[in-house]
Amino acid sequence: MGMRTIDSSKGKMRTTYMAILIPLGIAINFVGGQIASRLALPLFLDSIGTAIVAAIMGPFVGAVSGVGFNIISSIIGGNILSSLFGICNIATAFIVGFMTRAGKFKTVVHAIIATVAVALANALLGAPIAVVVYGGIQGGGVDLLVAGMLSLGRDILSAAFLARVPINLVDKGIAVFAAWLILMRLPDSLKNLAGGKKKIEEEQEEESN
Amino acid sequence: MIQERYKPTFLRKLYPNTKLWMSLGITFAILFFKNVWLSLAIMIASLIMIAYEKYILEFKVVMVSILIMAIMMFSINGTLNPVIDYSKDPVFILPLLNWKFYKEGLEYALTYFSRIAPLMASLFLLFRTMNMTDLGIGMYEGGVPYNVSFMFISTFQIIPVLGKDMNQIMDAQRARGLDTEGNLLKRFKAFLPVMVPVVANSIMRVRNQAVALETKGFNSTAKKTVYRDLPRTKADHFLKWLSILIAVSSVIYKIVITYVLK
Amino acid sequence: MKECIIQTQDLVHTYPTGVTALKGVNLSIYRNDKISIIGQNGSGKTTIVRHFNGLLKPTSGKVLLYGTDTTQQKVGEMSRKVGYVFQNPSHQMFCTTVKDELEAAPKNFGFTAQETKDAVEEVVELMNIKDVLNVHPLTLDYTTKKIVTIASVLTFKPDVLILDEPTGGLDEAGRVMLTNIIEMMHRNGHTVIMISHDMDYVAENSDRIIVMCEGEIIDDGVPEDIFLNAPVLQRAQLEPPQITQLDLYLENGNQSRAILSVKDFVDKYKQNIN
Repeated sequence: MGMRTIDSSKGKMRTTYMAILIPLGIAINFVGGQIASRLALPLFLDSIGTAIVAAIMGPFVGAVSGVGFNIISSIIGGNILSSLFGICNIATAFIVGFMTRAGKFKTVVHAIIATVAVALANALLGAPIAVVVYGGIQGGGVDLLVAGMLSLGRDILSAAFLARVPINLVDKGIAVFAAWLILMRLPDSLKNLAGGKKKIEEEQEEESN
Repeated sequence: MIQERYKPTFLRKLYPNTKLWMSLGITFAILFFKNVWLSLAIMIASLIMIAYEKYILEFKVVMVSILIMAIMMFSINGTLNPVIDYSKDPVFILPLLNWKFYKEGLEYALTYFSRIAPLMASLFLLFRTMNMTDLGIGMYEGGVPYNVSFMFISTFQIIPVLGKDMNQIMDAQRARGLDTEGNLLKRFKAFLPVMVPVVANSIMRVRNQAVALETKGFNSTAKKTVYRDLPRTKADHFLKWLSILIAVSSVIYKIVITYVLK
Repeated sequence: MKECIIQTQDLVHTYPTGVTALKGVNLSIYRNDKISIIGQNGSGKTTIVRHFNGLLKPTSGKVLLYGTDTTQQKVGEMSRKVGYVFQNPSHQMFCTTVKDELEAAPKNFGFTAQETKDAVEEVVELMNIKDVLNVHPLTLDYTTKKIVTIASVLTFKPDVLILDEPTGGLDEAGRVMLTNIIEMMHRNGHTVIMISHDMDYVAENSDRIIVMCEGEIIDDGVPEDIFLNAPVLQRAQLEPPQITQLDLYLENGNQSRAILSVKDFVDKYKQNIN
């Protein structure tokens, strides 16, 4: 196919692809949230774009997209400090990106592992950020769980963490799972625009056959 | 979204980077001077300006989240955190529920609230008066690489496009029998049939977009010409340096009281 | 007296953006009509048609489907009777194979496994898409994509079939197939409603044309009359099919009915020459 010459794993073409996919990842995060609210679902589902871009273009590009999303949504939402949660999105991007590179984002089992890993990472990172920025209480549903934990005698940091584990399992977890499902449904030609070692090896194999 | 151009008021006429400097100045001031009265002053000033700029309606949403945050912060922290010694007398007791509010918790909540609320109000004001494309241009003129400024601007252009796609796709799926209004399980099941085509379509367009960008010289190393003229006035210079002054002095203040005046 | 299956009464629709797309439209659609709705972009064609299966609800006025108000019924129920093929095929596909795509609608509507299988087989046979059953829909060429979306709506045999710009991007074979399908639906008693900018196609494939302009219906009748009505067409900023224009030019506007196809034209002038 003529497209063979436009190899996104190399040099300038990769920059162009990045310039398109990073904003797209951010937009997909937004759209996920919009669909969720149109369907009146009690979740955010706003990490799907990060996961998809990380799977297609690699962990670092995914991370940039994720942080970009947090910055922009904090601008729109009015609270600039919430962009610090971009650190959580970086974790999501890294986990999904590296798993994909290692070829381990293909089966249901992989998807489940990724889901749990992302959920734990988000809870682990999100808790201290919430404590440092907000003092632990954000003004959202998660705070009720935090209150519950506090009344059981825990300190604010561990309360924040424990409260976030189930919530992230559902929200971020479903997002990662959804990203995996979406990637499964894409035609093969689009699944990996990133290059990275594996793809170049595959292409060399193809050419020598 | 944040892109309307109404009649130019003072804030809107400012060069976008100036507002970035002002955001920096205000943020540093609130974080490092750590003064409740300062926070209150900024909060009131912001509210006045928001009313003046006629953004009250949009601000209502933010206002509601500030109020919810206030209620939850003060009630949860006030009663449960970080109380170490329950033998101290509570500041007051809520009548019906018999909740005990302690001084420590309330002060704790106040520290954080007086940081976040004025930030939310003032930055809301500054960013709502910015046109995002102008901000992207300001970034580029300020030395940010073209790629990054481009990505910033194109994000705000893609979001509404995907939103439109989403509406079309949701309608198309509903026309094939997808239930978007039933019980929670049915609505959950409706998520993917809408999300997958939106994402798949947008990714299918990526290849063509990449080729289009290439043919329009995206990667050329020549300096890009900016088409919009964003004026810089004396007010911009004054505000920029004032903000830098405030930011620096707040940092110095913080260093002084932490290390010098032990 | 033909059965009136869809009726709008003083239908007004204003979008959340403030644009009033329909300004009090009164329209009756009868069983077995073969209708084309024509008009400029923004005239309200898509808006009105989306009220027929409940995707849009009136801002004021009423829309009745089989005599019942559309606001009293669920979109899913109405879509079972009123099939809608969207303009952009990519918006209506989300499965990994064409076969899954075709099975999606029947499954949504509660067909049993056997019923689904039969319905899909029938449609595949009819539209000759056996070769692409296991292909990913988004990799198909545009014409085949369009055919697949029409097929996926035909699986549940809706009473009314709405086609939004069906000929856009279709190659000749696709157009022929589309014509055959519309003919078949019409023969079997179904109602077909088409929105199109393709005047040539509309002239030859409708028995009733509705002209819309700025949210109102400005003409409604048989093609032979509609395409002769110059002031209406001008107001709607539409041009009759080329062959009609040629005949109009030659006859200096003195004909009593419009010529709608090349065949009619040739027949008429062969007669005149002899």
